[in-house]
Amino acid sequence: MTDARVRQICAVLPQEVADALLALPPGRRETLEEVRLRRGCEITAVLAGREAPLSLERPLVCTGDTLEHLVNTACGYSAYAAADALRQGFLPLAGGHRLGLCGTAVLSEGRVTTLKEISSANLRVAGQRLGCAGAVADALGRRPENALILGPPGSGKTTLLRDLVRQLSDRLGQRVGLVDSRGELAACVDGQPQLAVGRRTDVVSLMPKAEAMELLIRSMSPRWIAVDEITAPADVEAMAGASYCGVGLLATAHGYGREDLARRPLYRRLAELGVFSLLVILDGQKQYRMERMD
Amino acid sequence: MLRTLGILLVVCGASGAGFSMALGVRRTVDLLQQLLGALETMASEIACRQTPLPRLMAQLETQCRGPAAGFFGRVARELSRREEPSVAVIFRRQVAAAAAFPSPVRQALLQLGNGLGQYDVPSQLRAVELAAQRLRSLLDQCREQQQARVRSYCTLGVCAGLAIAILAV
Repeated sequence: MTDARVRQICAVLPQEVADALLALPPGRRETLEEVRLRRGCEITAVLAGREAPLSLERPLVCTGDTLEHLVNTACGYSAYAAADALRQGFLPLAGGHRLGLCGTAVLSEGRVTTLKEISSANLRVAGQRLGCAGAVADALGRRPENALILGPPGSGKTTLLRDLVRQLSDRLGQRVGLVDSRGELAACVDGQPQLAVGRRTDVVSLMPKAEAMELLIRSMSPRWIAVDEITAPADVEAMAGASYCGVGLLATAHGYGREDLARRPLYRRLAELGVFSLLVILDGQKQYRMERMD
Repeated sequence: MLRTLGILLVVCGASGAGFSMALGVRRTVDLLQQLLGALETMASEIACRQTPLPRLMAQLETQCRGPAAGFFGRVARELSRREEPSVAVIFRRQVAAAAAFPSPVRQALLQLGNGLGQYDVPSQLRAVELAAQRLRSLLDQCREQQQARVRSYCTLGVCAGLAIAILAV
């Protein structure tokens, strides 16, 4: 992790937590993936996939004040301005990092309006694997078609989609509309993407997918529209609608393989509509293969 | 000649003190008007654009003048530094540093600081409205007393000067 990224992380952490992070040997600090804070427990860090106490000198315990400080600084003391993200349980940070949160939901008319009494937080360090989508971008450059990236949680679907968008935009010079409904793909802060998504990419953040796709088609005339995580029937219908407008579609979905597409009703509907013709399957080891959808 | 000059100086000095006290009342009214205007802007920015507090406070600094501008400017800078745990802590420090603010104004601002920055838009707006209500009632009181007070302070100043001059002669 570069010094700039360490500064971005430390900027939101309470001073003593930031000091403990800076006290890590540079070699270990570079492998930082997450900082985990759970109320009443010792603060831990995930370094190279292993979770261990952050401070080796003395136990650093997370209190309610620690979490309040963290949330306040992460949202610039303006929780109301980040209410949409907060409702989904995270706050986007400068540099593309994100703060995942757990707490008590505040409900209004049966709908979650925000989180209160934060019980734990997970500061995830953003990682980008530039160039990982080279083969998919080449394939789509030769033969433009709708592509669905399929993989289990944590297999790198979002990372692959982000790099695919970047390569289509920068390397192949095509306009891409990016629907970042969870603020994870481009991680915009003050309208500025914090992760590389390409110079010809227009980003719509934190908007429901169907509306965002309609907005992009209407106002930005993209060659491609990229969407992360198809999770609802409305997403499937919106994608089908968009596919009739001559726009190429790129999306991700949870699944271990082609069989999951047939098993889950949502994905079965997607397959029935015949929206996607190229399947990119991630194996959980950051490797992928491309297959044609029948 | 010297005695006349002395009498004149005593009268002018006492009158000046009276006028200065009257000016203090006017300044309080002006401060309250500025703070109410700032709260109005705050409410509309939060409700319509959900402007984050550091940017909002910087905006209020340019909108206001004098001690109010200084207060919002200092709060904006502290918010941007992101070193303090909450808005309430920042407000407490900056209200304590704002010597020009009368005590009831300080109380209203402290209450505002306790509610700002947390939770959703409606609760923010309620906090702003509560502070505005307190400031509005202070302004009404000040205005009611303004005419009478200003006249009294001026008259008292002139009379006191004359009385001292007569006694001295």
